[in-house]
Amino acid sequence: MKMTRRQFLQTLTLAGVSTVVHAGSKGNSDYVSKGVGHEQNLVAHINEVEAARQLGQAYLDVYEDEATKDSLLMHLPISDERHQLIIKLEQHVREDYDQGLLCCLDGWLLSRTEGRLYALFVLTASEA
Amino acid sequence: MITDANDLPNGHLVNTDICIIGAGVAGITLAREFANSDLQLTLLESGGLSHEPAVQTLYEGEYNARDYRFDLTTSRLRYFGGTSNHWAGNCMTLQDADFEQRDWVQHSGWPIRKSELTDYYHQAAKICELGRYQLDAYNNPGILPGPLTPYDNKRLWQDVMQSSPPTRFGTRYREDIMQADNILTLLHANVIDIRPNEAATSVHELSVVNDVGKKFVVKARYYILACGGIENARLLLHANQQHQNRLGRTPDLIGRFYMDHPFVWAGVFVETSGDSTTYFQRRKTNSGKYIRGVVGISPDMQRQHGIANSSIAITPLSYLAAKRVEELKELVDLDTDKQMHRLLTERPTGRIGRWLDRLRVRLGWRSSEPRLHLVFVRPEQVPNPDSRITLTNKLDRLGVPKVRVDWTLTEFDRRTMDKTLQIFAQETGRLGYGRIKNILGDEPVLPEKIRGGPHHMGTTRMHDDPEQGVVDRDSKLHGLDNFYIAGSSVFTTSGYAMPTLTIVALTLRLADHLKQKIR
Repeated sequence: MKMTRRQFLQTLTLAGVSTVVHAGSKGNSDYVSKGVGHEQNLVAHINEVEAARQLGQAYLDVYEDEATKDSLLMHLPISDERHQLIIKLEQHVREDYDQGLLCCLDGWLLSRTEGRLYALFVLTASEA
Repeated sequence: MITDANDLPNGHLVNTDICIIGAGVAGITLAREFANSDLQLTLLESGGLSHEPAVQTLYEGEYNARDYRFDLTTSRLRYFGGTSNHWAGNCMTLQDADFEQRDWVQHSGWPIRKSELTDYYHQAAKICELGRYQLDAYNNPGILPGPLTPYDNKRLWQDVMQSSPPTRFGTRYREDIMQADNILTLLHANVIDIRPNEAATSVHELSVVNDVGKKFVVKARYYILACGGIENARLLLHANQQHQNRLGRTPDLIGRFYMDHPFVWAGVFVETSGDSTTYFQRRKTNSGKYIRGVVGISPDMQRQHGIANSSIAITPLSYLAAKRVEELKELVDLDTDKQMHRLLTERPTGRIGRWLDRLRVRLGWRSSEPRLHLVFVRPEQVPNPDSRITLTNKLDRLGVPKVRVDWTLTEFDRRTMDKTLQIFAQETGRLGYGRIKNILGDEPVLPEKIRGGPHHMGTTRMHDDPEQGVVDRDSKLHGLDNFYIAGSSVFTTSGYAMPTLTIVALTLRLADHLKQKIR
């Protein structure tokens, strides 16, 4: 499946973690999650569903040993506070690139953290 | 003096001290080094002073099916000045690491170090009419095309390509050759045989034919073959056919290890922030010369990933210049040409340009959406004995067999392409510049569309061991004491640098060697 132009730009080109966690689109001052699972926090700001699903599925196909929520969450940062979470995610992404921890998803050379986030989105969305 | 061999009588004999075969970049450079000396020099050129279609057909041959955009008759020019007559003028030096033996690159390692060429590179820069010149661009940021990008130089090496005007050697240096009393230049003089002495320890004479079929002979104390990366091998292979493989110590090596610089559209760069492509743009320096930034893979990364040298070029796109617009549209599923146009619009450069750009965005005259750029990878082709020049059964009108070029890349070359893109993606991601898409595909096969330089190299490679090279460190053919080769055919490895500057530098080095030897 090809991405549409909008999906392509919104999901993949908006720099760093904001590719999927687009702070401006859904964020609000009531963000702090209470009683919500970490995975929900992590994927809460993914605003381009189809492209994220496509990339996430590609990640799951390649990294079968990480194909559960628990194993994905083991590698992703945790924070109940939105701002902190984004900072941590961005830091993880940068560290991945710095250390060469990349994955190739449909040709896109992305950080493993980005790939895991998309994968988590797929698993989380399929439960919903 | 420049004269036409068509005027020579049949059976004429030319006696000379030095005979240079081929009046291209190497031949003219070498001849100038001996101009007005005590030595008699004869310069043989197959063509005339300008392009002649009939002469050009002597380059006809076969090549394998790969999309080799520059075919054999158009990629080279057979007249005085040689291929410099359509040279683009791009100049770079090979890097120190290119000369070294790399355990992970089979057949790598020149018998000389780059330091032995340093002075010659400086002289070559003047001959190629470059501007202020530094050999080590990274440590001399004053000559770089722009501020250094914050790429980690342990990963990405920032290099610079300088532009020659370009120097047309045949016109720029014709007067030097004409005015030299000791140089006889014979046009329309085609070497059809290289005859060894009885013991095959030296070359005895050359058999030459002019355009009207009259044959004559050239006898020299020293011979230098300077006909280009393909023709050097062709003439030697043909001579060996006629003389039972007695020219050279390992005749089977002649024509092998043919290399070019593959040029591959490998990816798309979606630039989301920063000004990371300015460095790659061609710009004019204060001295009026053009330079352009190039980013290469550092020696550390080459070693770590077990790949060859490689460079990256980001093509600044304008919509009209984008030949692959349709492919791009398909790739990102864009709907209209208008959308494509907007995405591909080049980011202005310079302080004022950027200010205007920001203003346009603010006023809503232009979208601030991310830009798309094409990413091209130019890897060093690793030396491969199966990539080779051979002779066919078809003859040209002078009776010389036509060549077949089998340009053969390997999975190693493909791995270098992939890793190059990956390292570039790593750095652009780390710096938050954007993301890269690899369009080469998952399968480790060579892309269908690979263009060559066209830089023909390696077919008479330099090595101290006659089992591994055709010429020695002095560019002398192993086994013959008076026969030398000049040009890119002696390159042991190719790096990613365009070859002309190195051809000139190596030729100057050869000239010094000959001066010492003849003295």
